[in-house]
Amino acid sequence: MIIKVNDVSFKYDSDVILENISFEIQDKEIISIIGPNGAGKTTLLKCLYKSLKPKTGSIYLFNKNLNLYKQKEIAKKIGLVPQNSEHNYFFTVEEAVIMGRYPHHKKFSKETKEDFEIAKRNMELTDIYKLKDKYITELSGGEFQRLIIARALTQTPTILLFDEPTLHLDLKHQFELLELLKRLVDENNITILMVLHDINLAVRFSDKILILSNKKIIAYGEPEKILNVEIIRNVFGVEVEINKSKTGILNIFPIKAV
Amino acid sequence: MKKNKIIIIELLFIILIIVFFISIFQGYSNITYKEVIKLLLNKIGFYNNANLPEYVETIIIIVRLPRIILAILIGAALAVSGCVMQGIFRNVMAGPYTTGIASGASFGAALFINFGFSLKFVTAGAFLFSIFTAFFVYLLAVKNSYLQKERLILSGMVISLFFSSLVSFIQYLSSDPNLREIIFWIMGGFWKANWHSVKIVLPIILILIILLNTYYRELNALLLSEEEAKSLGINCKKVRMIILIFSSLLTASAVSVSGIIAFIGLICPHIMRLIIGSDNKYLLIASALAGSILLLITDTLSRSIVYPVEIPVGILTSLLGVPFFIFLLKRHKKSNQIL
Repeated sequence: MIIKVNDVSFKYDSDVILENISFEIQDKEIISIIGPNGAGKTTLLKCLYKSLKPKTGSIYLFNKNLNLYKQKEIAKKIGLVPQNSEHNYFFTVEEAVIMGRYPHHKKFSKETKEDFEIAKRNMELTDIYKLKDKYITELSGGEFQRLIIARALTQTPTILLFDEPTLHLDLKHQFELLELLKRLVDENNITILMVLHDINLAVRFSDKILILSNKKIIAYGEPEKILNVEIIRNVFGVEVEINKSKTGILNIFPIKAV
Repeated sequence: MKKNKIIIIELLFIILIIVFFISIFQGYSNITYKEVIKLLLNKIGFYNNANLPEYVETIIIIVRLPRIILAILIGAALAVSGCVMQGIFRNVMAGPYTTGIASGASFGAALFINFGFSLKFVTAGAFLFSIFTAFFVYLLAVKNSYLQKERLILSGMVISLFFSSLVSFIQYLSSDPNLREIIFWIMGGFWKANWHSVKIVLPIILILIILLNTYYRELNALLLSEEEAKSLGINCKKVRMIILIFSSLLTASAVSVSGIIAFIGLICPHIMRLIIGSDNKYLLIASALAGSILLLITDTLSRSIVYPVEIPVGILTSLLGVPFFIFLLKRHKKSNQIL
């Protein structure tokens, strides 16, 4: 078990965002968090890398309470690909990717050959090595996204968190990205937890789905087992039709809002 | 890429040395190049039989040299402190002046001058108020534990105005000799340069610049969003506080010696970003050198264009720096709002 979330609640002042959240994440899985706007998905992610601290309950990372970790120690285990990453600064692609090594450095240590090799490997993996000397201001949206993934991978984490990674990508890039994630899980022993808006993409690429609605977990498990017409109507307020395609994958067709 | 950046830094260093020599030769006394070189060699201990007239030593060692060293130090201090402030506040407009920190420092200095304290205490006063202003502005700019760019500049400007009014008030109340001292602060310049102030600010400025350089990773990470910086293991609040203290100290020590010299802190980091990129590993050093070069050139000009009158150096820094900056900005089309 990599992460265990135990009865976690979170609120800003008096606004309750998460209520009694409990779940566990196993090794080498892709887990998608889905749910309507304002369900607390991003807040839940933030709690996992200690950007926010739960008001009650506790989170365990490798069986050790997250509160006992320093931010730097968490950064060696958890990488983040956020929703809106700013790129209005003059870094070359390589300089930006090498930032992923920061958690591994002490104050006066210098970047080693090994650091540059890890960065190179991840740039190749995400297919941006050929851009390494370009300034990141010159990258396209898809390239920039891959850069952020390369940087997160350069932290050599065991868990990667994604906040709506497909948001600004066209269909082809969405699939390329999710296929890359699948490869990372298979080849690099990484566990992925992502917030996704597109249910069909979530079904297609996830081992498990976590449905978050109205501050609570509604369901958590394999897509085929937990997704049905009623749950989607209740959570998203949309009438859908669910079919199984020839390849055995669930297809969810929205029909109308209820 | 990496090699190019190191070459740029080396070039800047060579330019600084050249400007240093031009500056030491430049002046309105009849001293020849030969005499200057003889004197300098003599001082380092390479050339014993100098046999120079006494006024040469007085002018070079007592008048020009400390002034040149101070210009180099203060140029570097202002540029580095502007550079890190733009970084930690994630704002292209941030700098010693727009954040109100320099105004706080000049108020502290004016207050202590008015009560007749010596230079040491005046420096301390400038420092005290710059730190106070830094934290006050920082607190005003933070909302829901996130730093808001617009609030920062707005509160910086307001605090800056507040302290300027206070300085005017002190001027109004103060006696003639104190008033002259205070006006010197506001004009900004090096005509009171001496070895005593060099001895005070040299170690402070050097140590602070070196210390800030050890934070280049944190500074880079702070350019990203707050969440990304955290995910890279950076304790944003703590690091920002530390860097804010160091950079306020830098501003304070600069302002306490030279008064208000605007623009160096705002423009040098931007010029260098356009040339060398945002990676603070190279940017801090490059900005420091650029600040030294720009301030040394302008100070040399300010004491030699219209002899025997000195043009306040702050006026010249803007006159020289701004056109150069506009030139670079035009060349980079994508460079609006870039840190």
